[in-house]
Amino acid sequence: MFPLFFMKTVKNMTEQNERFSPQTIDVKVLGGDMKTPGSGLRWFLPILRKGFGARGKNGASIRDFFCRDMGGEPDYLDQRIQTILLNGKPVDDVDSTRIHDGVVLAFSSAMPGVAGATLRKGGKYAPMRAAISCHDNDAQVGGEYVYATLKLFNMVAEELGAFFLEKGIFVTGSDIRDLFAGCVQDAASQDMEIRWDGQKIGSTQLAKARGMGSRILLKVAP
Amino acid sequence: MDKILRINVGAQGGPSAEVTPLGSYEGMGGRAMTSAIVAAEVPPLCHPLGENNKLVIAPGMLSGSAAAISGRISVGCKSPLTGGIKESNSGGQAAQVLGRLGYAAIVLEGKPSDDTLYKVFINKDGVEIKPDNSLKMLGNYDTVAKINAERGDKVACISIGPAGEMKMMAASVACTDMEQRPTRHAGRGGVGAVMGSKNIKVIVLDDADMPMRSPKDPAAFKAANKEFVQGLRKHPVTGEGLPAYGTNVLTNLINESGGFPVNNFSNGQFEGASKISGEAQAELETSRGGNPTHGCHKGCVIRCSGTFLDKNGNFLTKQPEYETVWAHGANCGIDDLDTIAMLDRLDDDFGLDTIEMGAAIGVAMEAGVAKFGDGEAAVNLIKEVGKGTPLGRILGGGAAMVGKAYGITRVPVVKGQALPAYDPRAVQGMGVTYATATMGADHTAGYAVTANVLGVGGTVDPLKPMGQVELSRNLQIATAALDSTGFCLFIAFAILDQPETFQAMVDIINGFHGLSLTGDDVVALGKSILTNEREFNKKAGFTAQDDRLPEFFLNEPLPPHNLTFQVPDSELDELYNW
Repeated sequence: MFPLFFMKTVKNMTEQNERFSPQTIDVKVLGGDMKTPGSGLRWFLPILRKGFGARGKNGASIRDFFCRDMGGEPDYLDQRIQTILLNGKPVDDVDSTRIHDGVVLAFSSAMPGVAGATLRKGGKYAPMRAAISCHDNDAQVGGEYVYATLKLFNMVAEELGAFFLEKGIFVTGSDIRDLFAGCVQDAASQDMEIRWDGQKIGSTQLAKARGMGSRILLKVAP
Repeated sequence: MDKILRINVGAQGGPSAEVTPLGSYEGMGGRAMTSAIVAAEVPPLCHPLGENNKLVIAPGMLSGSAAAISGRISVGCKSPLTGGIKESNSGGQAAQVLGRLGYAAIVLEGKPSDDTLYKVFINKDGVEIKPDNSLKMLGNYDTVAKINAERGDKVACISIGPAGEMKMMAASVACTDMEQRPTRHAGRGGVGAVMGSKNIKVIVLDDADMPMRSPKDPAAFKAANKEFVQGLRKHPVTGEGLPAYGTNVLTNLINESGGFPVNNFSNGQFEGASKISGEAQAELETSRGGNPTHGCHKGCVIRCSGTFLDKNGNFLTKQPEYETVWAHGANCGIDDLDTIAMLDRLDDDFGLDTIEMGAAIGVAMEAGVAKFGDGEAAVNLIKEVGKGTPLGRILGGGAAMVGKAYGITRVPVVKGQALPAYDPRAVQGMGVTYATATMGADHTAGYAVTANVLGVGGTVDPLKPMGQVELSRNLQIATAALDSTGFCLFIAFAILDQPETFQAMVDIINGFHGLSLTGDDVVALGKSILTNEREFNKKAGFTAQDDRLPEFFLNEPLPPHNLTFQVPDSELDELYNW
């Protein structure tokens, strides 16, 4: 098993979030952690896979986005995230491929099959998918922060999920309703304490709430 | 494994068995064996369901030994679906049991004189062949249940369902798993129809009191096996991803890449993909008390399979594979795992190739026989196949037959066999393999080790289009070799990345057989198998025009990348020039 993944404190990520003051939903998962199999993380895996908003500097390389802007470890990016897609295109070089506003990034561990080997970051079979490979993109390097949609698949979701949720992920109102509509099916999800902009709210109410806006900061911690 | 069992189904008085020495087939196993026998003994122009075709069942070179993950069995013949040579591969217990019984192959040959159905029983004492018409038109599950009642639950069964009895071109040959369920299939190419044409319903194998096959160099074998297992366990694909999620772990990623065929290959991304992903499937299975980590044969250390329970907690089917989830899911616009699992169960019971059936239903939906996304309709269409209704017989004939019956042009087949779950307009190198493989469109033809590990082909220049052809060629060679060993193809990921694990695999073969194989020898084996197969296909009438993708892949851009298949014919024709 890959050693426990320790993230640096993401002071700058927290600062980014606070500057823009979006609506915030804070979830406290009671009586457990968010890392072991079967923990509260399982309720949030679907949204991590569907995709959530993450902010990074316009034109940042994927490495800078993940390590500098998100606080990720370079070793994890190089060794554990074996497949990366940017707008559906396989990425081979995380240092020259850059993010821009609205980009969709998907992170996955190594995948089986010839197809999995073919999509792999810098893999020997990359020529087999040359037609869809991500080449130099012309994202302008600029100072402002932009939103990327980040999707975490398979083991990467299990390993990075708790970190991103604790720091906060941007989701839509519809995502929140779907997420908590799913949670209320599970009796164990009653072990959650939820606050919407500081006010206590139940998961059933949240599953039906309207007027939440299109960019909500969801933070989940044990 | 020092003998071949030949069953002449056309002998006077009923099928007769003869045990023969290996002769020129000495040292062969798996695909090497099936392709050698078919190439040598089956007239390439024969009718696939006639007396001159043969069905060859062969365990791998290591099956029946203590080698980890060596339980794959090959089933070969002239395919009624493609008209060319076929090797179809399955997991389950049969390979190991047959290996321990000492048979390098079972060959079914001849033509039955009437419609009596037979069961074959093989144990350490010999072979019994008995008529049993009570098995007629039974599903595979009921067939195995009857055999268990007669022979106990420690046997391994190789059987056909009603589809094979009805000689449908999508018919599979089923093998039981460790729990006596007929969930592992030699699915592709209609091998079940050939078994049906020989009127053999089930072959029952009992290795009671038979020892494990022993290696020539026990110390070397044991050390290599240990290293091999360690390598498999530490690799993130074989040690983590596949055990946790199964092959369906691919759905989210292939969908994201825009290469996930949807609604009969009309789009490359499916809105419902996350609902049918490996992650969602594992969560659902676990929540119902199923097991997402399960091996299909003893000695499997990857355990990519699982058990899928229904809403009431009862076993429904084995964890559907990626190909099945795609074929019965996205390709038909269906995003419900319970529906897909039911379709998988029906395919297993009737004895059908899930890929071919998913593709056939997709073409039928395009023809308006049902609506894309209508899961209930899809279930009813498979039931038609099981009943053998006229519509069912068309569907059971495969995607090409459905396309011809309804005048559809978007029919995703090569050499008559349906494409699997990766659109060649996105991953063009897969398209090269689909077009050129001797088996027809086949996702497993181009697996296994990198060109560099085998020392073949040198470094591929990614800027040259020829790079894709060369890669596909090297992968096909390596796969053909691996298919002969009995090892599951999924070891490929670990041996691709970890040279020491690749070496351990070669050392296992060497330690068991007392050989000194090198990477070059493995390549030579693979080439000889492909040469046999290619020659057979040529004599069967195949030309370069058969090594092509259907026209629509060249003309219809696939969203979201909006690409067509671009590898020129001239380069496809270079693949077998070595």
